[in-house]
Amino acid sequence: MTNQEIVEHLITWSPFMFGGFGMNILISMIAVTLGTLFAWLFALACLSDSPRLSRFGKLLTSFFRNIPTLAFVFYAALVIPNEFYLPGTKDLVAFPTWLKAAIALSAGQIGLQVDQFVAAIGAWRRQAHDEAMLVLPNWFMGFLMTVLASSASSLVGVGELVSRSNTVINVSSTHLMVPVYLYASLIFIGFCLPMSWLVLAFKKRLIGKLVARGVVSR
Amino acid sequence: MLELIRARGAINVGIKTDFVPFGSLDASGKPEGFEIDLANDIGKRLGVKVNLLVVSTDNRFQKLEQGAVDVLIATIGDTAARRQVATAIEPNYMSSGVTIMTKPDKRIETWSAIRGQKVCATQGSYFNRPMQERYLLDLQLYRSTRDALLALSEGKCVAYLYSSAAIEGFLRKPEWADYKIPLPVGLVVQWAMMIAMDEHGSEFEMILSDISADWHRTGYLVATEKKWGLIPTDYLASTQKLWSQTEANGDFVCRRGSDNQWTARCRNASFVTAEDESGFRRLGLKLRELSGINLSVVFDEYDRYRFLVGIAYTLGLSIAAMIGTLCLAYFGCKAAQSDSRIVSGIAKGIATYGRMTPPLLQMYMLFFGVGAILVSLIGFSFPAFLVALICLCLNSGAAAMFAMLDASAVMQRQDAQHRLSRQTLKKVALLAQAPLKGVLINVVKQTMIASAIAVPEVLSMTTAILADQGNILVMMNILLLSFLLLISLISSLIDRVFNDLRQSGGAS
Repeated sequence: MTNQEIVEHLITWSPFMFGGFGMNILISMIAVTLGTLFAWLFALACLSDSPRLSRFGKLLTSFFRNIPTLAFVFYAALVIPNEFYLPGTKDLVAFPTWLKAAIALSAGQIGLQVDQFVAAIGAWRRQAHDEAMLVLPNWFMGFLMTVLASSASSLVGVGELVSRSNTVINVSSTHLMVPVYLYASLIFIGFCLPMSWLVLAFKKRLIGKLVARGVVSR
Repeated sequence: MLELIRARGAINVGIKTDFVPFGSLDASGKPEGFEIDLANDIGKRLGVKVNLLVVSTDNRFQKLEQGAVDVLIATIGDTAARRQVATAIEPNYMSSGVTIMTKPDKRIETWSAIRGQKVCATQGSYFNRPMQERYLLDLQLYRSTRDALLALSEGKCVAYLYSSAAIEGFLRKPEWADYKIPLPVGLVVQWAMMIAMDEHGSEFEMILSDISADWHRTGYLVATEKKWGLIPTDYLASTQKLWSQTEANGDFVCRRGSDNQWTARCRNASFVTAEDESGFRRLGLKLRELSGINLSVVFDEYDRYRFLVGIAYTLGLSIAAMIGTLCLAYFGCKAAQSDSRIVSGIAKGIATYGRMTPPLLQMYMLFFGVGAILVSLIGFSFPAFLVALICLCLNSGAAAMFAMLDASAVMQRQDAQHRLSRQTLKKVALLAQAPLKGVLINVVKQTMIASAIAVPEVLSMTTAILADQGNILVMMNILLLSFLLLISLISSLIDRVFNDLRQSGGAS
């Protein structure tokens, strides 16, 4: 296979592969939304005045922090039913695997975010509003990590970028293996790297502001 | 179930697409094959649409238990163990055994010749366990036939152990044409459609069973076998004869008795013998009967052994990956601080690749992609364990490197001359304690990804056990619990190391 043929092949399959990456983004956005919601609640629980609630919050947090994302993904894929009746009706609703994967990935988000939210809420309550804003870049980094972690859902049959790469290799030829995997890597890097630069620049500006006001020292 | 299917107007049939000519994808990506014909025929007879859902050898019983599929027609050997987790439809519709395929240059004459050798296999096949026990094979379990075949072609194992019917199918493809089947077929079993355990004795079972009987009587199965170019099996020829035989009064010889069971001689004969049960195993079966909890991982010697092997691999991989991560981080950090722009650029470039691509993709790339190139160049490639270790270390090493660079940057503000070295390592490590600990815990969690390339770690073993036993909830909870314990153990270990560091006078 000549280089030109390889490039042509990759171009032909590009829409298919980008569609797969769209799935990674979609899953990650749902995961981050759900994860943020729960992490926020857990953070409030951790900061609660009631020692029992606070202990409970910390226990739950460490549970979510200590279990691998992939275990959650398998757990959700195997244990959540695939279709169910809407309560009180006879309508069957499907529960697709990608949605299960998104829920599973949100569990990983919880472990990642709770501590940052605890710090941020604490700062906000001390009126240190700018300091609390530091949670934003960290939160966005969590999103990027989730985009990378969402590739694990290929192992339970979600048609995202990694599993679509395998499909492309299957229907064309094994000679395409390295180019296709490299191409998929480039898509991940092409999205995550510029995003992380933006986030870091934002964080730097934020810290610069804080230093200027003497809130934190360098 | 029948009600649900009628309400839905469609039957969900689990089929395979990696098993030429029983189930595969045609040029337009639509499933076709012997079993797909059977599925469509069932839909026609029930007057409902057929949704074909692709299942794999390792997940098909889970899909059935979850209710994702109503019936499996997925090359399933009808064995006693499987009748513990699902309801088999009698009469059976096909028969095959197990054999191996090897590269043309391998000479293997008897089953015992591959004793103790690395043999590729697909997770969830009924013959994996008996073949492993009988011939002490070192089975490398892959999640899909594609991965197992790739591994065979790259020399990661001496042979591929799989259903004889499938292997005959593979050998017809040009890619595998020069491979061979050196051994006679063993462990012959009949294939059955499978429905959920609790559908036993239901109307759904009856209807499917009547359809299957009709297939035998009308010669539909023999005709379909011919249509797909299969080598005619004695099994189908003899069952067609038996099922269409009538007695003097015109009744079929094979008919339902008062208990709704088929005549004894028309049933699958292999289910008369009971398995040998030792005292301890019997205790487990008793517990399962009373509580419904299948703790085969405690009571069954084979399951207990493989789970412990899984834990051992996870532990080994975790410790190796943590050490590798720290080493990579240290040298990466030194390289990134190097005065040479090229060295520091390369270090940061590699770290960015490690950080910004999923470890799963890195493993596929190195194991299958680079592996294939290495095999064609030098004749062998990295074992799966090493590939997993490299990729885990690359990903986490990069994260740890950036954490140490940050800490080092803080120290540079106090002392412009500061560089990471063996003298300053302690201070930098203590300054970066929190992120470093996070990275180390994370790499332990990520060891699970290695299951994708058949490293027999704890997730691999868990899914292998639940594929055989069907005890999804029990095994998944045991997996979570084991990991909670493992992580808290490792977490306190890391804390201790950092404490020792601090007390040895590293902190200022």
